[in-house]
Amino acid sequence: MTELKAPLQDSLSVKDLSALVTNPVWIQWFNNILRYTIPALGSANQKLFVNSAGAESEWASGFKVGSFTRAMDAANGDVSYTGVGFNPSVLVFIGWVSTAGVSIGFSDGSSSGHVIVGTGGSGVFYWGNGTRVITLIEAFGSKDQCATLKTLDSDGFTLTWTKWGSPASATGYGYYFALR
Amino acid sequence: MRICIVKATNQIIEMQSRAVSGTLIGNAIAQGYNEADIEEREVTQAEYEAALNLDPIAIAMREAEAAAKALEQTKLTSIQDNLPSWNVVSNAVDNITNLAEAKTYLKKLSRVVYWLAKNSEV
Repeated sequence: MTELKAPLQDSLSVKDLSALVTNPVWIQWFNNILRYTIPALGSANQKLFVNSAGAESEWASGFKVGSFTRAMDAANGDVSYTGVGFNPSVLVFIGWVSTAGVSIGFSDGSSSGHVIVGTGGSGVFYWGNGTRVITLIEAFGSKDQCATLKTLDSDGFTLTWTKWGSPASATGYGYYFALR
Repeated sequence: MRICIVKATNQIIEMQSRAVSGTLIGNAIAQGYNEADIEEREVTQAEYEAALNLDPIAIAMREAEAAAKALEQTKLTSIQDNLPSWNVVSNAVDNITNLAEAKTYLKKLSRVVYWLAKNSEV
């Protein structure tokens, strides 16, 4: 950060300060200083963040856990998830439908990691993918709903879901762990 | 917690634990549902569970899960009945003295192999 210096002139005296409160240069300087001052203490174990407008600092936990469902026979498309309370920086997902398998994935909006542990007729299978963030497995390798992270939003995120095969009418379940 | 249901069937299209109002309706419309046919509700955990008891898909999933558990229990019971312990199996083989006893033993063994290979009773 560039050091901020008060636009004081050597010749400026204390008696002139009252005249400065309406000076735009001074107002800008004070704003720049105040935006980085620490607000009153938050609750225990909270952390200090710059708010979404980038103009204030604020105390918050910085993470949120939530859950959702997905209809396994739903058509491809984007789905918005809201109520996180902040614009996430990183998301972690866990998803499952039945005993066919579970998936774990994460993304920071540009890079993603994802792995499936699935069961089939011949045992347990593992499969990794660097694009998806969640897969809801009805039958390993043939029927699932999978999603990529489309966007990190101001109050949550948007997933782009794709249906593979022809899953039966069922409900898939997911958890997310959002980090600010 | 919010859910979005199909009013005519009580099918839950989507649940989100933290969504703000209108999110699920928007998702359902984007998916092709007619706004007049669906409803978004804010519910407690108890109300969500009550809604699941009316959701035909959730009911079918519970029934399928119960059937799968029952099948697994039948399988385990059958294996236990036919192969109760290694001592019993070993003694049974040692004590075979005629074809009838051999057939009895082979049938027990076949029953277990059939379960393991086909995961089915029949």
